[in-house]
Amino acid sequence: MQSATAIPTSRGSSWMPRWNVFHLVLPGVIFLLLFLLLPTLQVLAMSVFKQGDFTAAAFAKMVSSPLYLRVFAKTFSIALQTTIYCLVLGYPLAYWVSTLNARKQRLAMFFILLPFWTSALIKNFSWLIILGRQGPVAELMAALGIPGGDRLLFNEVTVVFAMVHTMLPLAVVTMIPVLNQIDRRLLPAASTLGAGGGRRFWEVYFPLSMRGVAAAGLLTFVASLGFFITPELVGSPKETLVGQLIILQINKLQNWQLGCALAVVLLICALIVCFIYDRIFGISSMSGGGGRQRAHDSVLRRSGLSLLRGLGWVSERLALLGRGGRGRLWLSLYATLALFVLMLPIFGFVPMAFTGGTALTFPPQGFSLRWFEQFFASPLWTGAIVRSFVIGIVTAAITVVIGGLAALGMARGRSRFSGAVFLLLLMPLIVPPIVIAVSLFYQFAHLSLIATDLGIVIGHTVIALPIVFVILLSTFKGYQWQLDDVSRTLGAGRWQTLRHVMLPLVSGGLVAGFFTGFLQSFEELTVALFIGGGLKTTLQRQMWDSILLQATPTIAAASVIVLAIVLALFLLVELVQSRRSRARSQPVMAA
Amino acid sequence: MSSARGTANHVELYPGDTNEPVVTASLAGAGQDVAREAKLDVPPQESLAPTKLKIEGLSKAYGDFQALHPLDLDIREGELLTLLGPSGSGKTTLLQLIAGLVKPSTGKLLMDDIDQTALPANQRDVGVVFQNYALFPHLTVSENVAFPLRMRGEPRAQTLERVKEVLEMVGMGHLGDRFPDALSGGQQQRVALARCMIYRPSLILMDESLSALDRKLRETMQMEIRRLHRETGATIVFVTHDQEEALALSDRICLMNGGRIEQVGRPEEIYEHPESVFAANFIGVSNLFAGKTTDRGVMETVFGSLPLPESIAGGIEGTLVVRPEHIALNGDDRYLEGEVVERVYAGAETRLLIQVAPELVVTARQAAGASMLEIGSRVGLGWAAENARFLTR
Repeated sequence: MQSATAIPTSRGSSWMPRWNVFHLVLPGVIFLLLFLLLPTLQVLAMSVFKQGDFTAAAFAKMVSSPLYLRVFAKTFSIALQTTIYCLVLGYPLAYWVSTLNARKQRLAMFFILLPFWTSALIKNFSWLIILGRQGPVAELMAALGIPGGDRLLFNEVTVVFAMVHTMLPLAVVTMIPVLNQIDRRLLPAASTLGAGGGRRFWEVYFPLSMRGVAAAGLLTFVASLGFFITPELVGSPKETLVGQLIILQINKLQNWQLGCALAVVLLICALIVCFIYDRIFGISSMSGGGGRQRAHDSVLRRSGLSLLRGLGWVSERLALLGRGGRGRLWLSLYATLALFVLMLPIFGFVPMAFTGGTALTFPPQGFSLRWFEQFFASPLWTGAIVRSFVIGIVTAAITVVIGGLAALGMARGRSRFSGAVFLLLLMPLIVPPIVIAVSLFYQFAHLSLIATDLGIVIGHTVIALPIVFVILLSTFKGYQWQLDDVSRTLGAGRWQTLRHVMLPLVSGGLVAGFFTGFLQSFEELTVALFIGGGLKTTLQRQMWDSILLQATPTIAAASVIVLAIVLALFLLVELVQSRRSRARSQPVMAA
Repeated sequence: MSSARGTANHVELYPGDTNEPVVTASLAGAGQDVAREAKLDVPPQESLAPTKLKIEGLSKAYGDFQALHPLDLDIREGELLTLLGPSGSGKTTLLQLIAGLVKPSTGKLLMDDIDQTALPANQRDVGVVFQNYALFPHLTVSENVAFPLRMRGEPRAQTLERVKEVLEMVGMGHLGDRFPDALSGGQQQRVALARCMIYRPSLILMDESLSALDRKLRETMQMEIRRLHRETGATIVFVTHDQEEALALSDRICLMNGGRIEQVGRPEEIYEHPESVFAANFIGVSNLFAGKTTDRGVMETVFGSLPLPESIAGGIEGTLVVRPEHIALNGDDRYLEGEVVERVYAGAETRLLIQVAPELVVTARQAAGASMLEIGSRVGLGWAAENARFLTR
């Protein structure tokens, strides 16, 4: 995989001899400078200037008001809890998946990626129904005579639970590739050198997996910081988080300065966490490339190793991980349970969409398709679904083009700027979506792009770009560029080479990138909420508005439709991906 | 199967470069006894040193697949024994069983007369140098080397001193603070050796440890291993598929094939007195002639009658093995005649390929300085009868 990057630049000249291939990153760079960096700086300026004069009034208000301080404290507390639970619960699951053989792993990944791709809105709406007063859990508890079934929602425990549930797939998906990369042969080696089960895990396996754990922690924490869907739907006013406050200030109260100041605080927090991550692991390690040059005598490394040695020693004494057979059984049991809970809200509300009654009660009263009929009869809903499709397709196309060019430039070109460019392309992952949405809202207000489809497309492209870029980067890095030279020596021209050799080999990655871009846009709510401006509603936005207004079975029907679409696309991507990985594994097997 | 008889001659052009010689044809002609148990007779003059490791009826099956048939083997204190064989011959399985990484299906393993069959890898007094070195990438060279001592709870000061000492011994004293990925293949190999040597295991196992290195480096490391073996007096079991490496390194070679032991002996024993067609073919180059003995003391083949090295009863099917260096060209004895079809110059000698029949090519050697035979010239082939070997398997 990494050999492609190690090829000297002279080899790169075989493809495009005249100019540096690295220049292909330019469209992506310019796009993000215009629609991410510039608007973020504007928000920063907005928070400290009022009619051209410098003022710290907004920040002063935040610091002096116990309300804001309480909201910030709550936001950190919940984001931190979410991150810790995601790592602790996600690690065994990721470990379990990484120990499976290729075929079983693909199956297990399906049950993790499906919740990953199902929008947070649907999952949280589902909890709203499942844990509601008349939901299945409450009914079951009442039947068993357990009290408290009517008070499951609107408290901090439920908010943290739903947040963890929402973020867990992200954490697991981030950890798995790192765990898969760990050389399994090191464990028997440690055995022969005298290490027992506990020390094998804590002193060899765990430190090698740290990179993945840290990346998962970083992404989960940053995503949780600006999250507003979960607390809004299943939390009480006591669990108001910063994200909700920003929406309130900007969308409802038009208090731009305070809203921007809140966003700036979120952004700074996210950047501090990233900075710490970069100091320790190196940000470029997120793409699976080599991390920062390590210093063998850093205090951090020394203390980390000592801690792990302690853990290894203790667990060896306790023989916690010593017995292989039994531990394996418990792990499989846990993983199965975790996958079940991940899938539960995705299919848990489906029966409710087919209710004959008028309320979202469990069990549904009779079977009918009336809510689906209502969905398709309403121009509001049908307009939203068409818009979502169009925006999704356009977003995906733009993202694949500029993300693909950037990936090609990064994979093939060399420049002293490559580190900075890589960081910029991953920026949208690091800046909380709500900050992106607020910044674009402010910028688009000046460009008359509010309440336009183009505005939403630009916003969604910013959000989708990093993931599509990473997928395409790994595609291009995995491509054997020597094949181009081979094809040329066999008499193929540049275009013949492109058409008959390169495109067939990278097409799987391009298709996966396209659908990933589409799904990112199709499931996106934050940008649609700000930029759509109430007129141009996407399906997610329409659902969000309807849920806040009143939860009717129409929303359940809409969710089922979204779910069906996502499921269909997801299966398609899986099909393409598995075909791609099979095609790629063939030369390995032959060798 | 019997149709392969005529092509029983297997010609290996470049023994050093071909890792896995194709032996199917010769094996098919040899009529192997599948049910044969691998029983070994250790020559009496070699059993002077005490037995370090005694293997009794050890076997391993994965489901229906018998990776290793029950076998017995004694490894003596201080010897360097090579497990040699093609891939799939069971040599790595045997090594994993000795290391305790895999549980045997049947059999016992005794070290210094103590049964260790049930002992897990981390409690055995065995060191392993893995094929890919298996250095821990998150630990420095020194930390890697110190690892086994730490696991054994050695005092810190003593550990540091030993690490220094061992790294000096393998010539890596100045690179202790490096991480493994900053080292060359040869350097990683030295670190892996040091990590294994440091806790003085009474048995060191090396799994294809040199196969990832280029030829020059491999030869240097072979010398290094011989030196360390001499200096430390450790018992070493070395796994390889490279017959040249096995011949160069070993006190004894244990030749394996298809999950069984084919032959055990000193390198020159195996080379000069192969006990099977497989052994004759796997080590060095052999000319094989399949046929049947007659009452007249010769072997009848499709190419003509060939003399037998000793008197053998008539009517036995077998293979006559003649090494290329024993073949005399245009000498007094001429059993076969053929045409020179290829000449391979190799410095000290020239190898000639002589087409005797459409399906039989004989390899012969000509020392440097001998008069050159041109391609296309006719030549008579013979050998001293006692230099041939008659094999029935």
